[in-house]
Amino acid sequence: MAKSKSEQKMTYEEALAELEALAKKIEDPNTEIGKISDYIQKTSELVKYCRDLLRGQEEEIAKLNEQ
Amino acid sequence: MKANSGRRVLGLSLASRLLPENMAVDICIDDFYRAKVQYYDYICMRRSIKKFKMERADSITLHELLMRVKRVVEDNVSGYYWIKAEISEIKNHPTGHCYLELCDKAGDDSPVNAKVQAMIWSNAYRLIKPYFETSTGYQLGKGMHILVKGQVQYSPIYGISIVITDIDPSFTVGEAELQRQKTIKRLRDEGMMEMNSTIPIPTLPRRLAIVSSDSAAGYLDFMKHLHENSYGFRFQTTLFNSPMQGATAPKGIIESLDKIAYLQDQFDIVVIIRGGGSVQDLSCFDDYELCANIAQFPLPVITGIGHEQDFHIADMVAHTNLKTPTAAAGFLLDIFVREDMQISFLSRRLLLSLQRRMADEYAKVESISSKTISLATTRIKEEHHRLDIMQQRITMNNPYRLLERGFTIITRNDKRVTDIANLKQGDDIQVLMNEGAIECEVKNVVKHEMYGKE
Repeated sequence: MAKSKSEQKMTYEEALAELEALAKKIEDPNTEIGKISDYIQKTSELVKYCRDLLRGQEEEIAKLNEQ
Repeated sequence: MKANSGRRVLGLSLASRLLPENMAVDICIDDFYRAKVQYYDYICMRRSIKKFKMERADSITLHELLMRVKRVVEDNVSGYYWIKAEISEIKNHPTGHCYLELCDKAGDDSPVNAKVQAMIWSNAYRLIKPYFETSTGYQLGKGMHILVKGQVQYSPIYGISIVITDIDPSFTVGEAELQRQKTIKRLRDEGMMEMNSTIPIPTLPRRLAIVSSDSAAGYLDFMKHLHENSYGFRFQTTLFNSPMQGATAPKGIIESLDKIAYLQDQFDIVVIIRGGGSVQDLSCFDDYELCANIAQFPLPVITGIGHEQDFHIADMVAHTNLKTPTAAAGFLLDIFVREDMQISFLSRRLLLSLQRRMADEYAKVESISSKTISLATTRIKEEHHRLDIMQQRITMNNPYRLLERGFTIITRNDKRVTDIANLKQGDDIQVLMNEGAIECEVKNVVKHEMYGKE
């Protein structure tokens, strides 16, 4: 719960930066293999979070356009 | 002749006897008068005795004498005459008769050169009076020029008089008009006709000096129309009470104008108001002095005098003349209505240009907004794309995907082994495969020089 809360507060840029960091960790051969699946899980959550943010923005823009 | 010459002789002899050469002058005159008085007494006594003797035989009574005068007069000036004259006195007797004194002058300012008593008997006066008044609009009065039909009569008791049987009203109207034309010409010659009209009326004449009578119906009409206007315009009115008819009116109005002139900074305009009345009532507005005062007044003067058909010299010299008091109020209101319309027009113009400007600005904003929206949309698409790439990158680098495709990963102590040099015989390693792992021990390490270097 604490995690999702912090995600909610996260801005798109922060989420993107985190994604980038995770991607690098996944790419890194020194990363413990056992943590990879966690990271993968986290990246897909972050991607979803980012896409949700973008969709929210899209809806806002569509509303403004109607006005 | 005899008596005269006698007096002269006696006078000379008296003088020669009583005035010795060396006598002082005052004593001389005194003695001379005394002697003269004595002489007259003597002469008069002698003359009266002689006259009495002479005239006693053919004397007549005063009545007889005046009856002779009457005959002479009535024989020589018999019948009716049309006579032009000025009324110098007029009295209406309770019995219904009218007694007048008529006079004549060579010119307006000349002395009287003829004067006579006249009368209109009640039976004639009953008809003449109303006819004259309705025809001229004037009442018979002092100073009026009239043309009368009359007969000369002589009474031994009352002397010469004229019995009037008719009056021609058209003559009086003509005389009044003539007088009016004279006044107009004089004002025109003196350059006063246009004088007041050259003063501009202030844009909003709100402070009005009113010359009128507080009891006059015209004044009340004016005030009602002005103050109860449906637009809600407010005026500041100050009444200068003046007599508005008759002989005292010009003087009274001039006095009011003088008062206003003294306070001229406090007023925008002067309004002279008088409701309708008889021609005679309103004739004061043809007075030269009054008109000259109006013409030269330092503020614009507007007039609302009488009814529709009345037009006076005061109207001609005023800045603006209106036919009635109500019309005068209407004129002032119209000035405000015009200004009000002008303001409305300007404000409408202002509003329109504002609206146009707003529309322009709105269009600008609209275009910027649509641009920003398209920019934002593009940006979001880019971000989606970035996320797609990110996802792809993660997927590609996900080691488990390699296992799915039949590759294995060698790990030691949970760390990937990527270099063969890090392994030696007897090491415990794990081989990660799809859906599982194999625990192994390295039997032998074969270094393959060419492996993976194509």
